[in-house]
Amino acid sequence: MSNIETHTHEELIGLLPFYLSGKIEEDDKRAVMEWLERDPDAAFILEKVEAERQASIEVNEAVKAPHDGLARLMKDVAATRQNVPLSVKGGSLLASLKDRILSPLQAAPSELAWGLCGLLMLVTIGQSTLLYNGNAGTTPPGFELASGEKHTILASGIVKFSETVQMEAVTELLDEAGVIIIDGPTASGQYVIGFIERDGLPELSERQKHFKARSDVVTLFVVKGGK
Amino acid sequence: MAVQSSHDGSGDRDIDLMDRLKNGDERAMQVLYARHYQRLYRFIIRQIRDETMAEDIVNEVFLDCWRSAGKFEGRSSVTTWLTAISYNKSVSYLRKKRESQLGEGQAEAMVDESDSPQTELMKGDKGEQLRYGISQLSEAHAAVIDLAYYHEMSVSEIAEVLDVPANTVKTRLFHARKNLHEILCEAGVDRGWP
Repeated sequence: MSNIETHTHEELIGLLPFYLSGKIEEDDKRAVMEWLERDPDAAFILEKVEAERQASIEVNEAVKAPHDGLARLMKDVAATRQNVPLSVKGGSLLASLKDRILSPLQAAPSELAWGLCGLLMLVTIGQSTLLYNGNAGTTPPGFELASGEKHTILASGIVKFSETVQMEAVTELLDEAGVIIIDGPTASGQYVIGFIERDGLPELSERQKHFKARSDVVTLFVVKGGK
Repeated sequence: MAVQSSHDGSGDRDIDLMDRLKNGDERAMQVLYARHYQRLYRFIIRQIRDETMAEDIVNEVFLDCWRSAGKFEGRSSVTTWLTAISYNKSVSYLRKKRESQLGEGQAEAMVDESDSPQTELMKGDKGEQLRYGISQLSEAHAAVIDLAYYHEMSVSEIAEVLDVPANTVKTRLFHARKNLHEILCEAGVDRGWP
């Protein structure tokens, strides 16, 4: 049996892209070559596939990758050694949220880390629900990071970070105002934040005022608790 | 060749770089990045069509590579491994994006642009027509077309990246080419089939 007889016409056509790239099994390659010799239409189809291949290359090569990627990556690689938040350029700050919550688990497998993050989210969503329903009682709700660090939430809010803001500016403002990210982002990019109790911080009202004033970094939609 | 080989002969092989990564060698990370960054960025952006997010995702791919180098067993090439991570992250991002769009009642935003062919295309040369058609393919079809044509992967390598059987790769490629033909026909360009 010749090589060509082991393949349908459709299969032979499907092999042409791989024949052109050379990424083809030897038997398949012989079948394609035999087909090209026997069938005059085969060469015409090969020409079309070659045109598609050329167009695919041109479409891809028209995409210019940004040049600052390596500097950013190496900064993040260094951050993984030091357990600090990663840079985020896109609309999602989820990566930094993951790092904030799970910094002690940097060495854990990514899937495990995300799984734990998801579990923690469920717990915090439950806490947030209590908070927003006003059923938390007289005791300020507590919030515990995976690191074991416990926080008392004095007030909470829903915010959205500016799309153009740098991660450093967000981190700085959160530290200054004594704010932690509890949950988010939602589909529309909103986060639940909490003003925590911490020694050495200004009064809650001052911190909220300072937070609201930084509209270049964050938009505060709702605040619950405090003054 | 469309894409630079995973080993350009100028230094360590990718597999050697992975060994160095396991020992926390940042220089190896830089070399690996230089070899694969552009190719992966192009692959991701062809999937998600968002430059800013593509930067984030490709950064995450290399960070995963840095963190998970110890898990790399060399059963596939580094190129295939990195491309598979890129594909999974792109698909995950698109799924999340679609869910959020549906959740916000923005299903209409998901209308495939390929449903609106440009009739002006008929004026262009054949190369331009094909480039238009390829740019209009769905993510799934764009992936298999790009992996076969631009990334010059074999059927088994594509199967590994997409995590599907080899026969599915062949079928998907067939349908991608057919869809390309249909897109061009709708735009008034009939190249004939197959």
